[in-house]
Amino acid sequence: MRKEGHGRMMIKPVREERALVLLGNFNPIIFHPAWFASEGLIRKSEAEQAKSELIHPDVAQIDFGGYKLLVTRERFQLTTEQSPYFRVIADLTQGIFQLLQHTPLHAAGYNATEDYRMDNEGHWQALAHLMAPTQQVWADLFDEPELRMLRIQSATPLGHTQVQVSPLEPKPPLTFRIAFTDHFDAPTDSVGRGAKEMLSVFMDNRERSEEKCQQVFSKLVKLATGKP
Amino acid sequence: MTTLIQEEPVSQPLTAGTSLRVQEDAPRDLHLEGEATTDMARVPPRKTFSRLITLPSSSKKPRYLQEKEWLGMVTAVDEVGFTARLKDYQGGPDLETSFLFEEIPQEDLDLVQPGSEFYWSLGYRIEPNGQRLRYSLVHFRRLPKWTAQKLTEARQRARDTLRALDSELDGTT
Repeated sequence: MRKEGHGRMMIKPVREERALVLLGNFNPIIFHPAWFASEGLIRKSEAEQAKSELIHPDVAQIDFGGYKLLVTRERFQLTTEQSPYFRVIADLTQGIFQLLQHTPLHAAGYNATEDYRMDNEGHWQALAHLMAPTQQVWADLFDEPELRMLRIQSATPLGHTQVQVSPLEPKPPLTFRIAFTDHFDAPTDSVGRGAKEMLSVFMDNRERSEEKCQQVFSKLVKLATGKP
Repeated sequence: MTTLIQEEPVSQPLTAGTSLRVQEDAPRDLHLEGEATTDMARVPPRKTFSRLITLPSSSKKPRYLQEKEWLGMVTAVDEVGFTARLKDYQGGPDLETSFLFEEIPQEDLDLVQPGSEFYWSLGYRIEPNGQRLRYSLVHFRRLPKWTAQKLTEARQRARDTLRALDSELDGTT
């Protein structure tokens, strides 16, 4: 644990991940490291070092070192566990679909997952009790009921936001995972009209999505530790 | 890591037509989903492919403990480096600072022009063996360049909009 400025949370996650997901119709075989470099989306040396783990008409999976790309016919997904690349993958997504502007997109998701390790096993129990008081509700029905996963969803003007919280270890857990998703549906009048409008909605909101997920992580960690 | 097995042995590299399938007990990080969800927490069911797939396990990677991040914009360039205005993503005050070219990946030097943007992050890089290294990472934003045709189209749209506004102000149609 440590202190930080600007009101940020005091506990650092032991694992962080950001994933940008687009749903639509894709042609996986065009996603090759050399294509990215030739379009100036990545450095030539990055393309040379990228590992094409899979290139096939139905699926492409490339490890660029700092981030990974997975494309199937229905899904495009860029994932990174390295914080300096959180914004880089958003730029890359934007760059790709500015080039592939006729790709039909119908949904997009900003995913943030963080794992927090507590120094006290009581922290998860405190958080679990606040989110779902199992002893009050379930103790007369089951022996030692435990919260294993909780999912909260809220509608937004553009789709929905969802948070899932779960312990990562058997009882008593010290580490828990918070998974945040900001889901955007394509504007109804833009479906079938290419990537431009869906991408614009997604990119215009990416900083707000990141701010929202930080608020969620911060709040849940504070609830777990009991620190204001 | 993705665990896939081949139905028939093939020599590398793997190409279309190779017969591979996803191993039943493969970990879940290859999201070969049929389910239409953007939610990474709801991992879709595994799917078996009749043809193809891959490969090798990746080695353990370093982890980054980011302390600060700024969005920078180049304001001036000289012989040895450049000056940039920095916007703090954590809400701190804007700053102005200078960078030497030697701090920038050599392949990014042609991106260093007044107006171009970059991310600058500071923190610790934690190696798989636990060793911590201080890092300063400058990453210039790479977005597709405007082509001459796109610029012409944008100028035409601007002219059309201006004409429409002028007409509206004049009360004509």
